[in-house]
Amino acid sequence: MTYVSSEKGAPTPLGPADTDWEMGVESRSQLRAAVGRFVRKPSAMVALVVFVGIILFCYIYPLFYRWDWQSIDTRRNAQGHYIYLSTAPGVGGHPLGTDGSGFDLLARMMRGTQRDFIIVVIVTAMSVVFGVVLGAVAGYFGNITDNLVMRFVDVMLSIPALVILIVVANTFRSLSGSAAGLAFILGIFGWMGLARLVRANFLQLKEREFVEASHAMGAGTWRIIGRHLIPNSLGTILVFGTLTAAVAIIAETSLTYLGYGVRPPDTSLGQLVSAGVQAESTRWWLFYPPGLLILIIVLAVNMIGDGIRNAFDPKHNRVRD
Amino acid sequence: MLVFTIRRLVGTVLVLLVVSFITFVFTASTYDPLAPYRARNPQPPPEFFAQKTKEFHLDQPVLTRYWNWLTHLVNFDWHGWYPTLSFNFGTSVGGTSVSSDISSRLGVTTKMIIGAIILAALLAIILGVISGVRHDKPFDFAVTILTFILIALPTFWFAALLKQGAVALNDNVFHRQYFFTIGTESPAAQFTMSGNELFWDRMRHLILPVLSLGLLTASGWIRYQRASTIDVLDSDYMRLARAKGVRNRTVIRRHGLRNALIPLVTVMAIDIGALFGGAIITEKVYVWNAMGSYLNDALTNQDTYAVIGWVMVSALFVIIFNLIADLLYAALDPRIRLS
Repeated sequence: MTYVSSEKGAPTPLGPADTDWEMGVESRSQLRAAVGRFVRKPSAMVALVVFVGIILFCYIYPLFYRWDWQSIDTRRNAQGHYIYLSTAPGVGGHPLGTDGSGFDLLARMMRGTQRDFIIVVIVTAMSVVFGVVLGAVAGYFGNITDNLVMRFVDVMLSIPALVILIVVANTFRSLSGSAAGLAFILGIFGWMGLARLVRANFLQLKEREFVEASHAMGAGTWRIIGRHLIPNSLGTILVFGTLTAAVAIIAETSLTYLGYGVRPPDTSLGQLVSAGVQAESTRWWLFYPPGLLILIIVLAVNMIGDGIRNAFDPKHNRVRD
Repeated sequence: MLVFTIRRLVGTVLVLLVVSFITFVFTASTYDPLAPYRARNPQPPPEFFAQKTKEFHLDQPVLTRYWNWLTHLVNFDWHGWYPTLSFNFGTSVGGTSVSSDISSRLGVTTKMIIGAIILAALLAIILGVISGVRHDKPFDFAVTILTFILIALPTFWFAALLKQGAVALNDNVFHRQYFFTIGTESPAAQFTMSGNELFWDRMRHLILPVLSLGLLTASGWIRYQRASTIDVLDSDYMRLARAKGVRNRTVIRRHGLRNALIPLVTVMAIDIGALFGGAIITEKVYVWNAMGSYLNDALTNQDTYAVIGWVMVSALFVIIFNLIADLLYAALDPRIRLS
């Protein structure tokens, strides 16, 4: 048994299985180090809290809220006229006012955030899965496979998503107006950037010694890709994931503004903002709150991405972004 | 580099062929431009449908239509002593030639894009470099907050905000319509105004679209330029120059600036290529009849030849500018060897 002195001077037994203790200090994996760096950056943590808080609020509060996203305020006055259409915030129990049909704006915003969250999750998952798989295959196998995949990426980049979206909307009418259908289309067109980044990373990484060592020890292709190359590209993948999430929200608002995307009666944040654009000078509460909500959500996602990029920066003693 | 360019150009032609095939087959098999006529009550007579079907080639199978389109695509002519190349994308649903429509729309788009790119490039280089040199100082914090907010805004929300601000300025400061929020020029301006007056009318219609498109493009570029400047400032050759005794400002000017600007140039080239087909939201907000609205109209009218013409032109710009970006990167950085 070998004895190693710890800092306090007393000898510590170092057994054959005790490989986590070297020089009396516990070793930390790269992931734990990155998580530690993320947690210590105030802007990233605040953004994470804000983002999670908004999502939880929009899923939980409607259960306690007086107005449902589909319920119209049908209260009339003595003459029989509807009195709660297009009312300002604070009037009649509507904290953010109502729109022209009598829907409560806060309820619609919460429902819109729920739809957008589903869209973001589906788009990010699809983009990350396709991007990583195709980028890994192109980067690891090289030559003809690489050429084919990159030409495929070029083709996908050249076809505008709008054209395919309309074609799908025409042929699959039931799918087109829903959040899941829109998310599917955005996901199919969102993976190209990640494929390029992962391929570039893999082209560099596969020349490294630890890959050679794994190969020499008999590791199969997929084991090398899954256990060594992908975890080393995790920073790039996570940053791109958050970027895709932010872009997905903005893309959803743009597509809805053009008329394609989530259709009434179902609402989304894009719907709310598009409808509010016309009302900006007369009914400001329809224009500014949904826009500000989108701004805050996308800002939070971007700050989280920034924090992740900082956390995974291997030269973390360099000047940070 | 010449071999690389030639190989990429050949690859470009192949990619364009595949894109055209996929888009044509997708659109031709699902589009029905006669649907609005069928929905009318009473319906037009059957002879009308027969004539329109022949005119839009709807009676032919999709692959035959694609082959006819492909073989009539490029016309090579001799005009006396110089050759000309013209593209024939077919006729649109309205009966006009798609290629002449697209070329006029392209002119309008180019006007908006050139202004936006100049603004965005100036902002990106100036603010990005200063922000990178003085990182973590107050100027950097202000610019960072501004760019983060600009990146997070929906395009049309920001454009509507700008319109609101411009109208407020018109009312309170200028007391006349100085900023125009709609269109490329005042109605019938080219017949009623001339020379200087016409030029300034068009300029004042150009300000708001250029401002909204330029600021939103600049936000991404500023972040990128700042990161690349910080990278360059920390490199070994800069430390050596400072250790030699050269003043910091001279070091940055002589050695750092050139290297810091290289990555931005490639990102700019790629984004410019994407802008030619991608400014559709800005065009809709300011009601400009440019490339984006052409695609929107073509999709609404279910016009196969207009859509495929648009996709070809837009894809060509994207691919050419990607190639320019790669070539520029190799030309500006001697360490890069093109494979």
